[in-house]
Amino acid sequence: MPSRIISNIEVFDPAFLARIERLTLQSSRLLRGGLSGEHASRRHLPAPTFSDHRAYSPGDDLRHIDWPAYARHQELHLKLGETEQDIDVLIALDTSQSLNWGQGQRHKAVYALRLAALVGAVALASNDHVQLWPFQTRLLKQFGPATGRGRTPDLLRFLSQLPFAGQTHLPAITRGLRNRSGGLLVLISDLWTKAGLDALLKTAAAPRWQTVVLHVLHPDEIRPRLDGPIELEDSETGATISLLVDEAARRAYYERLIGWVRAIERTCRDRGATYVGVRTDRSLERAIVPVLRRRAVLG
Amino acid sequence: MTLLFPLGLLALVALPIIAALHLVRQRRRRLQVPTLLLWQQLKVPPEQRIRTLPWTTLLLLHLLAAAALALALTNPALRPGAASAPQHIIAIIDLSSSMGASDVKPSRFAKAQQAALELIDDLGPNDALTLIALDRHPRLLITGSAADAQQLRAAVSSLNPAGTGVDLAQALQLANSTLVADKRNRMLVLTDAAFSAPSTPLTAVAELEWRTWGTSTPNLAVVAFEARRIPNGEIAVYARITNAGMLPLARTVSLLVDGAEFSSQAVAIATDSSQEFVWRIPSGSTQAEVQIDSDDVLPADDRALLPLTIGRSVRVRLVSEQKTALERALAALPGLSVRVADTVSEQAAPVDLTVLNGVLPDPLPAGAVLIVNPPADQRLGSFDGFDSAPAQSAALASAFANVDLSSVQWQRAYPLLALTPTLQPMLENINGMPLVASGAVAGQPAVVWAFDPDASNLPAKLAFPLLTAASVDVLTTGALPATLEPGSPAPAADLLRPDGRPVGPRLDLPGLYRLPDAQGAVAVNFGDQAEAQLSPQPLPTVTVTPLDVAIPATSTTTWPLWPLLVLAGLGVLGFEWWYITQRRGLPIRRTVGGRS
Repeated sequence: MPSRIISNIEVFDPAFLARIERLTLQSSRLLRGGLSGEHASRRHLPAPTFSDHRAYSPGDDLRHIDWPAYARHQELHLKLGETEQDIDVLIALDTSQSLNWGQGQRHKAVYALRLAALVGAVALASNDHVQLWPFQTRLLKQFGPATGRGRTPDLLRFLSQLPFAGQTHLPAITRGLRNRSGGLLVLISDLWTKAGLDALLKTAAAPRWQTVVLHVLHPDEIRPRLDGPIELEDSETGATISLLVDEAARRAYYERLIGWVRAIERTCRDRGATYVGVRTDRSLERAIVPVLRRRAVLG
Repeated sequence: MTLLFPLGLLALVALPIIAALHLVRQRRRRLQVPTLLLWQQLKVPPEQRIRTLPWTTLLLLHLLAAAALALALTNPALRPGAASAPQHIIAIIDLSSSMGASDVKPSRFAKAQQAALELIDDLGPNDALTLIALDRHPRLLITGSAADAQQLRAAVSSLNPAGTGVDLAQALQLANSTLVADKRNRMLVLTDAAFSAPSTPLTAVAELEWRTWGTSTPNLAVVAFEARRIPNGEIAVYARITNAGMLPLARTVSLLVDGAEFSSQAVAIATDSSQEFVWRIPSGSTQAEVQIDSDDVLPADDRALLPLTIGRSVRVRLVSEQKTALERALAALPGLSVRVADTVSEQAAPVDLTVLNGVLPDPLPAGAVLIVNPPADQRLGSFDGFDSAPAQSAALASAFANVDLSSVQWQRAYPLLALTPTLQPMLENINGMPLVASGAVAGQPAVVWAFDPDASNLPAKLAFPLLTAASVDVLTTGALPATLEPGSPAPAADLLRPDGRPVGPRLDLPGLYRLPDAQGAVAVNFGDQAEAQLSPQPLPTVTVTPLDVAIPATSTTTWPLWPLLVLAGLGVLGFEWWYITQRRGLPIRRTVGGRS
């Protein structure tokens, strides 16, 4: 199994992978796709599982005609039911420099890679069409589309080779989505960018898209452990700022961070996307998976 | 521990300099954060913040090293047994009247007195204590050891703050002369520092320590109170009141004549200024008193007294078997009451001065004696023949400086005296033999004229009344004045203090000192222009140059500490070098959380 060491941490350990294979991805909306997926669709199609009838029209598959009903009513009707449907799962992974920050298990890149692996592996195991778009200021080389759990090693190998550099630029994703028919979009990012989220969510809007935003933040980004005269350097731009950080400054920063997160959450809600705030000091299995399940992202 | 080179302490100035350098050049830690997006929105420009000293390990190490090296410069040394070595403490106690201020409870002087008593209590078996009174005429009070604790305590307890002005230079000179060779000498000045620094340079030849009490506090004082008769028979009374505080004060000033209020008026006195008052009171008045209705911390100078009757004159008895010119000379001197007798009588009334002309009874009459033309007597010395040589024009003592007997012609030879050690020659003849001597005879103050003035042309000379006056002045304190300064020697032994008790050697209480039977009185007023200022002044600069006094053998060994301190300083610097080197060897943490 390919692996990657970041901050002395093996990103994909076998125990982690064994657990995520047991999970299934659950879609809660009507999605377009073929008929081989494992996700129940609300779209009424001729299907083995009966739920309704409609009148026959020329061109309909004769296999779905309800012959007993024809015997009783002398009219041709097709049996309608829920069909299992595969979906396109698109994982947009932020690989900007701001993710390459933290220590040990809390390292943001470690966490983001694990999240991407979790979602991707579950989707592959569900025979969904999985694509992974790493992006910085532009889209990097993509993974997929791939189907079947047999592609999971390829996905992990791909994730293991991703560089973390540059800046976050969401319009790169937005442009890529314009030619897509729809599916499940999972955005994994720390969202340290001034604009582009609203445009992205507007493009990836329901009913074609179901969007889940996984907002990754390190605990030190929420409550900075800074004190005294400090020169801060932006990891992405290299810009610096000199500050005398005291309790008042820390409080002001926290208030602005809360406002920032709430603004993102509101944007997601307005555009029908699911927002999940992820702290890297929480165990992925114990903290994130229940949240994804609760929000019907995982089965 | 002793600092053999105290000037080395100046190197400690490096400590604030190091701290200032760290404050000015404090480096900001450079830390990487994912983004500055939110930090840039914070309006906390560092320029508007007050910088605080960064208590970094580096700063502490710098301060530690600098302190160790600075202390090494002072050449500190341990003297084993120095702490237990016998010491001689010279306590100089300020007796100026400002020490009576009660801004420090119970009073500044009580605090100083308590400190002196504690010094006595702390005396070791081999320690010694010398007490020096600090006023306008500093004097040695007592020297004693722990065995003399009772006398020392009595001496301290008998003191009162009753002086106007201090002569610190003379007090230190006196203290310098009392050093003890085999003890560690320490000087301790117990004062309120409410005096101006003297213009003369001050030196001390032993360790000098100041203990001060007192605060800046307002004070009103009667600094002058005098009276004189005017032609119409009335008495003009003059008073000057000073406000030595920082605020203008409004008070009531009253004049009492013979105990009854004569005048009372409200006055406002500006800051640091004086106001004068003049009253005219009836001619028959016997006593005047001015009072300020004040509640300041020094009530002793809020009133002044003045006796208006003439005090008692100096009582002189001339014992002479024959008519003498001396009687006329004595009678011509002001303030003297002269009585003439043929013989000395034990039942005679006491006098202040007895003039014995040609006689020398045994025992001598009580009090001071002027012995003129004495017969041969061992109490004066041995006779060594006769001489008639003229006198030298210059006197040997200032008391007789104006007396010139060189033109006197002796009609009869005078005896030559080989004086006893208790007598000192004042005037001599050209052969160096004494003509006039002063000192003590049989334990009594005495002046001796070795010649017979009636057997010369001296009575016709101006030198005669001058010699008589000088002799009387040496032997008596003169007539009782109307007022005397606080702390002055008692002018008469039979004075009664204001509280009715017999007077001590000094006038150390404010008020009216009376003679028995209303023979006269003298007032002691504490108001003084200099003493009215109660605010402590900057301590005067004293040059301390300890003398090489022999220390007992047990404490002569000194262990220099500077090598240890230098090693400590270098050790700290070495640790600092190691610390920085170690830090440089470590991966640099550039982010808050760490970066892979």
